This record gives sequence, structure tokens and C-alpha cells, in this order.
Amino acid sequence: MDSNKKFLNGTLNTIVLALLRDNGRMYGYEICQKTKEATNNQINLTEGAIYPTLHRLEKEGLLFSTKEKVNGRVRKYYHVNQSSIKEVNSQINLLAQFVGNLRTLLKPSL
Amino acid sequence: MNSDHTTNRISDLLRLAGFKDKHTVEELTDHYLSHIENEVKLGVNSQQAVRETFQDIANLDSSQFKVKKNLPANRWILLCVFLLTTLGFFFLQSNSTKEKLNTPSNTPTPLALQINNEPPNGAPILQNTLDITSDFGMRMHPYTKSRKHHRGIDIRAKIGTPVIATGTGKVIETGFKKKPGKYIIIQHEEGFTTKFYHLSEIAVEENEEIKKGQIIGKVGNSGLSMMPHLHYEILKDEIPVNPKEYLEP
Repeated sequence: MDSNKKFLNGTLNTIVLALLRDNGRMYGYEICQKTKEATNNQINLTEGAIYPTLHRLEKEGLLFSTKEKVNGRVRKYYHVNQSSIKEVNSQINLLAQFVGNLRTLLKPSL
Repeated sequence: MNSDHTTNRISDLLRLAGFKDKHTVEELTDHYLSHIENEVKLGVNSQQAVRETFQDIANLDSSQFKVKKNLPANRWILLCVFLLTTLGFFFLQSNSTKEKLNTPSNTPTPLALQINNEPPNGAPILQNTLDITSDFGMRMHPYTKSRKHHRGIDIRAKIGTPVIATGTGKVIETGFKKKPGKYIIIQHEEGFTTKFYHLSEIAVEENEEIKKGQIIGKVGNSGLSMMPHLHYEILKDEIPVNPKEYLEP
């Protein structure tokens, strides 16, 4: 999992933004679970990774949060700030493009 | 699963792990409760899910959660001016006030209801299994190599593992001594006393009324100790009794 951690360092922001853009509002644990399921348990986001990322993105204004009472406790949901959607889309596209380039470069035939 | 107690204990553990911000504690509490609910849904025994989650929280490093922010240059200047002014102010004030040291900022809330008058019982640390490395009774002291009566039991645990009160009572002594290291002594009903030695942290104050299950400190390696562990004693009318007989709740 260490190599995953290394790669996540520069990409987690964008992964979170993409998940929130495509799924609407989500809470921290839900993002961890979604990532785990989608990657067949290969990427396991820790609390120490996901929450600082969410908090930072919220501070930067790319996300905003709302609170709701669920099962008698408070749950914090994150949403993509629609006024920043252009920037969010551009970050996601840049990473997708980079991943495409990586795929080409890492092709076994090269 | 008694959700209120679990919720309180999770919040307590988070505060003990160094999370000061109310909103972060609230958010992480929801995270861990969601995790427990999910594990139970997947067929894990609820008590086991709760125990494992407590252990995860105890191993958390709160420093990872700080959001680093680069301050722009003009903010740095403002910050420096502010710091200098504050320092100057405290310099002028320093001779007139003497602050009391070691006042814990938050006292853990009571965690579990219990019937009073029952002797202290159950595990004194939050850990799935108890690894007892030294029993009650005659033994060779691992440090001094002399044969001596061991007044309690030693439970091996990682530094930072939460230590909990095994019964309702009152903290009658805390402090640091050469042999016990950081220690806590709690007086219970019916002439029972419990002692916790070699701690790394003390989370209660003398004269504080505490409830069974409340987190009172953290396992450490302080005092005359060869490795991180908790030395746990139960005394009945000042006479040490075998804590092993009280470990089952």
C-alpha cells in the first residue's frame, strides 16, 4: 500500500473532487468506502488522508459543507462549490490527461 | 451496541488522542460510528467491531490532521508584529501572575453507567486481548533481580493505549515517583483501591470523581519499567488482592 500512498500524495485532491462532482454530496467515510469498492480494495484512504484533504479543499473554496443529523449524530456532507466548477473540471481533466500519458509511457511495448 | 456510550467513548478517545477542535471530533466520531455500523452489517460481532475501532482511534496521530496553509508575505509581517506585541505584553505581566501547571484542558466525560458498590472489575486498558507478562504473587523482579511479592499484574501494551477506570470512584492520588513512574490511585466503594503505574499520560486530577470505563490515562514506560506496560493493582482494605480474579466484567 506504500506505493499507493506515494501516488496519492499528488492526486488525492483531484480524486476527491471527481468523486464529489460525480456523486453529489458525500461524507468522509462514504468517500473512503466508495474509493475502496471502486478499486477492489486496492486504495484504502485513511482518516489522516481524507479529512485534511476535505478540510483544505473547503478552505480553498472548491468545496462547501452542510451538516445533517443522522442516527442521532451530526454528519458533515461535502459538496462541490458550483462557482468553482470550472476549476474543478480543469483539475480533473489535467489529471486524466496525465494518467493517459503515463499509460502510454508505461506500455510494456515501449 | 449501546450507541450513546460508544459515541461518548469515541469522542473521549479522540480528545485523548489530541483532537481539540469540536468539529473535527464530531466529524471523526461519525466516521468511526459509520465504520462500526458497516462492519456489523458485514457480519462482524458488534462488540469486536467496537473494540477494534477503539484500538484504531488510540493509534491515531492527530498531527496528521493539521491543515497546512502557506501564509502570504503580508500575513507573515502581521503575524510577526502580533507576536512581538503579545510577547511584550506577557513580559510586562509575567511577574504579577503565577500560573498553575498541569491543568488538563478537558476532563473526560463519564462513559458508562454502573451499579455502585460493585468491586472494580473488567480490563483496565482498551485492548482486545490482555497480555499479562507478570502475575500476582512471588516473582523475581525483572529489574532488581530480587525475589519479591508482586502486588499486582503487569499487562503488556503499546505506549498510548488508553487506561480506563475499572470502577466508579474518586482519584485520591496522581503524580510521579521513581519506581511507579507516572501513577494514579483510585478509591472505590467497599474499601477497594486500584493503582495504575508506569503511565505515559495522566488524564485525571486528584479528587476527581470518575466513572467505570472512563479513560484516566495512557500506558507508558515511566519509572522502574523495562518495557511499555501497565502495572495494575487492586487492594481490598489496603491488602493487595489478585487482579486477575477481577478481570472478567
